[in-house]
This record gives sequence, C-alpha cells and structure tokens, in this order.
Amino acid sequence: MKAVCWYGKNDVRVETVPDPQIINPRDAVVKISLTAICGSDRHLYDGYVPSMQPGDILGHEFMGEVVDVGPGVDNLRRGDRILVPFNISCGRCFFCRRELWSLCDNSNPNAWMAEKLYGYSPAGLFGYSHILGGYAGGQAEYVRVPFADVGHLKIPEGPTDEQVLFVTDILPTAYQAVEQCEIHPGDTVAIWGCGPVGQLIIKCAQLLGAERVIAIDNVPERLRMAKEQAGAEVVDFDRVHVLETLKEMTAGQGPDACIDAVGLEAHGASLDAIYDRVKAAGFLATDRPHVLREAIQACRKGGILSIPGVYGGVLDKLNLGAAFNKALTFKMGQTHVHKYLRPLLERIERGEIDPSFIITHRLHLDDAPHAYEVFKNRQDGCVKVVMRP
Amino acid sequence: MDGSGAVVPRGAAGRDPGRWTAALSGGALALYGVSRISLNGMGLAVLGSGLAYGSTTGRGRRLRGLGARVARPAGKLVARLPGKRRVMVRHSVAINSSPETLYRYWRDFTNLPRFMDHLVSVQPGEGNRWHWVDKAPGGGTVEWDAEIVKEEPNELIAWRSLPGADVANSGIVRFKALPAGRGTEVHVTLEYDAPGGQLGAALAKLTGDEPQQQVTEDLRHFKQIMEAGEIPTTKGQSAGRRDVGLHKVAEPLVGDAGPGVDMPASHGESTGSPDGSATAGAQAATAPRDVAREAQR
Ligand SMILES: NC(=O)c1ccc[n+]([C@@H]2O[C@H](COP(=O)([O-])OP(=O)(O)OC[C@H]3O[C@@H](n4cnc5c(N)ncnc54)[C@H](O)[C@@H]3O)[C@@H](O)[C@H]2O)c1
Ligand SMILES: [Zn+2]
Ligand SMILES: [Zn+2]
Repeated sequence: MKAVCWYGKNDVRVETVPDPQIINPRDAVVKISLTAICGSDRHLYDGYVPSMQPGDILGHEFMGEVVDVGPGVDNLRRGDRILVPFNISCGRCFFCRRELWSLCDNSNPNAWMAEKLYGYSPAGLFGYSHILGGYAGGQAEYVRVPFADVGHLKIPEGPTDEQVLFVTDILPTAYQAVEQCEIHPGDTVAIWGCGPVGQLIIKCAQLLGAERVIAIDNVPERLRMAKEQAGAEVVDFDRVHVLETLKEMTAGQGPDACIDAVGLEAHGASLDAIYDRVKAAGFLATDRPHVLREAIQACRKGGILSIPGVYGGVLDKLNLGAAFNKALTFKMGQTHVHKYLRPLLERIERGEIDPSFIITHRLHLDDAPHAYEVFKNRQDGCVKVVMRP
Repeated sequence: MDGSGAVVPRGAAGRDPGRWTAALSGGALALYGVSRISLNGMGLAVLGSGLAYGSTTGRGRRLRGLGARVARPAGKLVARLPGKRRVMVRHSVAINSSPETLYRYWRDFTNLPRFMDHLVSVQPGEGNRWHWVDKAPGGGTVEWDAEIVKEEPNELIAWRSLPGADVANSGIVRFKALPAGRGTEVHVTLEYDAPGGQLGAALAKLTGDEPQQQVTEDLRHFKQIMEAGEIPTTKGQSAGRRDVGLHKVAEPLVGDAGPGVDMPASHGESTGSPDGSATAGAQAATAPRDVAREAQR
C-alpha cells in the first residue's frame, strides 16, 4: 500500500510499504477513505518531537471501512464505516474507566520511554513518535487499529466523510478545550490561534454558551475565517498589542477563560518570543511558550487557562508567578476523544455544528509532500488539508 | 547520576533531535536522552540508584559490604558484584482486577512465560515443584527446578529454586486489594544468589543484565494481559524502512558508541552499597542498542 512516511525535518514522502495485518486479537484493519493533516503533524514535520524514526507512517485523523477484524473484536464487521479516535486506549484500565482515554495505561508499547520523560506514560497515539507508542498512522491506504472494539465510532448513512472526519481529533479537541473553561453566562473566552483547532474552538464556545469569543492570530485568511465563518471578534497580533487590546475589550477585567490553541511553535515579534526562538534554535529549550505566557498574563483573576495546544518538553521563563497570584486554573492534555465520539456525531447529525467549513484543500494522498509544505507555510489560504487515498 | 555528569547525546530522534536532549541535559531533568535511551544504560542506572536506595532504607542491610561496581567487559554490560552473591529487585503495579483473579492466573505457573519475556516455559513437576526454562543470551536455555514454599490463597505466593540451580533465585508475589474499587496492588520481590561471586555474569544469563527493568516490564505485561487481554505491540506493523540504509537520516538509528543515559531509579532497588554511592549510572557507558529494535520490544 501507499503511505505517508516521515524521514526527517521537512521530509515526508509517499512510499510503498507492506499492507498492515492483524497482529493482536483486538485489532482491526481499516481501508482509509479520508485522512487529514493536523497541526500536531506540523510539530513532527518541523522536527520538534523527539523519538521519530525515519520511515514512520504519519497520520492520526482518519476514517474508513473495516476490512479485517481480529478474534477479540465482536462489535465490528467487514464493511462497517468507522471513525477512529487518534488515541489508542484499552477501555479497561483505571484511566479508561474514568474516561481519561488519552491516559490509558495499556496502549503504549514504549511506556518505559515515556516514563523516563514524564514520570508515567500516557496512551499510545497513531503516528506520533515512539515515545507515544510508535504506531503506524493513517495517512495511508490502510491502517491497523489496535483495541478497535473500543476505538471506533460507526457512522450511519447520511453525513459525509468531510462532515464527520474531524470527530477523530480536532472537533473533540476544540470541544474539550471549551468544556474545560466551565463557561458561565456572560463569559468572554479568548483563543490564541486560528488554525483548524482555533476555528472549531470558536464554534464550540458559542455552542456552550460563551457571551463573547475573541480570536487571536496574524494570518489574514485565518482571521477572516474566524470572523466571517466562525463568528468571532478577531485580534491581529501583528497590528495591535494583544494584552492591552484584550484588557480594553473586556472592561479592564481580562477574559474569563483563555485558550492556547497554538502550542509549542508559537510565533511572535515580542522580546520574549524572539528569546524563545533563539533558545529553541540553540537547543537550550524545547518548546516556545510565548502564547502560554501571554495567555497567563491576559487572563482575569481566578480565570481558567485551557491548553489544547501541544507541549512536549521543558519551557523557559514561564510566568508562573502571575498564574499563582491570580489564582488561575490550568487544564490541558491530549483529548479524550472516545468520550466525545457519540455526542459530537449527534450534534453534527442535528445540524448544530458542521466542522467541514475549515477545509481549504482537498488533495490526493500522493500529494502529501506538497500538502505538508502548503499547510506548514499557510500558502494559498491553507487552513485544513484533507487527503483521499 | 547528577546533572553535572550528563552528556548530551546526539539523539536518534531524526535529523534534528539534539534539541530535546540538549535542552534537557543541563538541569534537574538531566535524566534522559530519550531519543537514544539504551535499556542497558537504563538498567544500570537504575541498579546504581537502587544501591543508594537500599542502603538508606535499611533494606540493603543484608546486602551490605557488596562494594558493587559495574564493569564493561568487551562492550557488554555486566553488573559485577565482587565477593558477594545477592541481588534483590522489587516492583509493584496496580491492576484493575480482583486479588482472586490475579492470584489464580499467577498460581498457574505455566502462565508466567506469557508475561515474563525471558521465560520459555514453566511446567508442573511433582508436588509443589515446577520446572523453569529460561532464554539464555545468544541462544540456548538455562533450566532449573523450583518449589512453592508458601502460599496464601488470593494473597501471596512464594517460590524458591532447588539446590543445583546455576543462579539460586526466589520470588514472592503479593496481592492486596486497593480501596474504593481501585483494583489490586501486585507486589513482586525477586532475589538472585550466586555462589562464587560472579553474580552479575550469572544473573545476566537469567534477566539479560537488567533485573530491575526486567521485572518492571514483566509486571507491566502482566497488567496488560489482565486488564486489556493482550500486550500492546508494534512488532510486525508497516513502516517505510525497507530502504532505510540508503537514507542519511538512518544513521542515528543505530548511533555510535556513546554514554548510557543517566536515569534516576523510579522504583525499587537492586542491591545495597555500603556508602550508598551510585556509581553504576556514571560508568554505564555502553554501545546504545538499535533504538528501532528497542522500540519494537
Ligand atoms: N490536545 C490535543 O489533543 C490536540 C489535538 C489536535 C491538535 N492539537 C494542537 O493544537 C494546536 C493547534 O492545532 P492546529 O491544527 O490549529 O495548528 P496550526 O498550526 O494550523 O494553527 C496554529 C495557529 O496559531 C497561530 N499562531 C502562532 N503564533 C501565534 C501567536 N503568538 N498568537 C496567536 N496565534 C498564533 C498560527 O498563525 C496558526 O494559525 C497544535 O499545537 C496542535 O498540536 C492538540
Ligand atoms: Zn491531531
Ligand atoms: Zn486503558
């Protein structure tokens, strides 16, 4: 089969590799009908995530048709059309039982690596480095799905692939990010990043009752989408001072909740952002926490900081003093996708949300190298790329 | 084992992997070069810290006077424990299951090879006896007989090798219900004992150099079987690595000789050292193994 393989920084190629097989009893093999490139894949493409190996198959947002099932899977059969959550979870451990699916104890074959890095290992993920399992991903014609009996959602006739695909990752990510904000009537939510995740966060914030939604970025097309299609007030960080602007927009109080939908590759021209770049380039820090700092600074006293943006290593010069003295609450982590599968599908079916508006590029899997380039550089107004094998 | 001794490995995380390892090697987090962690290095680092742990907790009492040292004959790591004979490793894990179920599975020793990586088979013999067959490094097997010396249903099982084993060994597993439906704590202690002083070399035959890492992984697999019904793996999956040798980027996969990675002990101990000095990690220089292979374990 064909698969998108990672060979190093800025180097992905479509290669012919062996077809996946059932390996464990609870596996299934899925023929991919639609897959996407996620902002998280950008971190791999940019070489920010350690323990990638040349030849690793990328991709963790995908859906398709079941073509094979292991003897331990009794609720799937050939021909089923399914979504597959990006986290791999056993469904039976302490964490899965508490719906903390992305923290599953039993799905990372390389748990020992993650334990050295993080103390304890989170769940394995598709196509996301060997620390997080080393599983082959779904930017391919076929994919092996471990623990498929709990790791799927059957899709009925009706919604299109494009309408439901993002339930595998970025829609629940957006939803969880907003849920973590514990929105009360009258609340203002500020969102850093108008990428695919940011756009869907705007929608979810409206859905969950935010009074005002303010979105921050500097990419014109993305700001336009945030304003015109998602319906947020927007702030261009190239044009205005973000902190002052937010203060002004919130009667001098600050947003009730701040969401970092940018993660470890934040851009900026302020002193601290330049400092981060220099440090990261010189290998003195791993992540660039410019947005995190700004969000901490901006948040109102007693507010909530929700962090769906990915961090992986150590951060430098974090203003924890501001967070402490303003008594902020931090919520973060990889999304517990399984928990949101059905509720979000139902919202889509009821027409409450249609996440497909973010798709700007529809390409063939063979075009993946080009697709990564376009997505990385935000060419041609690129917000979200989907690929069909 | 402190940050000052940390060496910045050129990682195997791809073309630009040094970023993390370098960033992390400077300070309190100087504990890993994740991109090229060698299990060998890790095992010994754990062993090293275990020495200190044992001697400060008093558990090392029986092990006092070991003067544990680590040598590296011909590139292979062997814990040499001159003049003494005993290594003890402990580990525990919480499993979302009842003591009864876990006890029943473990008590049938023929199940042990399902989660103990180094075992080939355990077969019932006469009475309370069991015949153990273990994989020796470089092919071949090591065999011995052991007997159950104590058992309390749903609580504990203790076994001990019979006289004549290459490496005398014993083990005890305890099962204890955790509160509020949190499952069961499974606690394992293993002891190895070699007459004649070359315990390290003898032990390597049984556990592949890293008794602590071995017991950690074995218990992890036990938990995975009991909870998930299978051990997660990527062995046999697809990857674009056929032509990996042709890529320049393939080079870090194997890596050149470099330092083993300093690692704090997260749990357990191995042996005690009189002064508690953890020398193992610092000296645990070893040729890193193929990361890909490690990752497939
Ligand atoms: N928690 C999870 O489970 C999960 C799931 C999916 C994605 N993510 C993460 O969410 C983040 C966003 O994903 P995406 O797909 O939208 O990625 P993306 O890269 O397309 O979007 C990031 C956006 O942030 C903007 N940005 C950069 N610096 C900024 C700054 N200083 N202030 C404001 N905006 C800034 C960029 O211009 C870009 O539009 C990534 O870190 C991704 O890894 C997390
Ligand atoms: Zn993602
Ligand atoms: Zn689990």
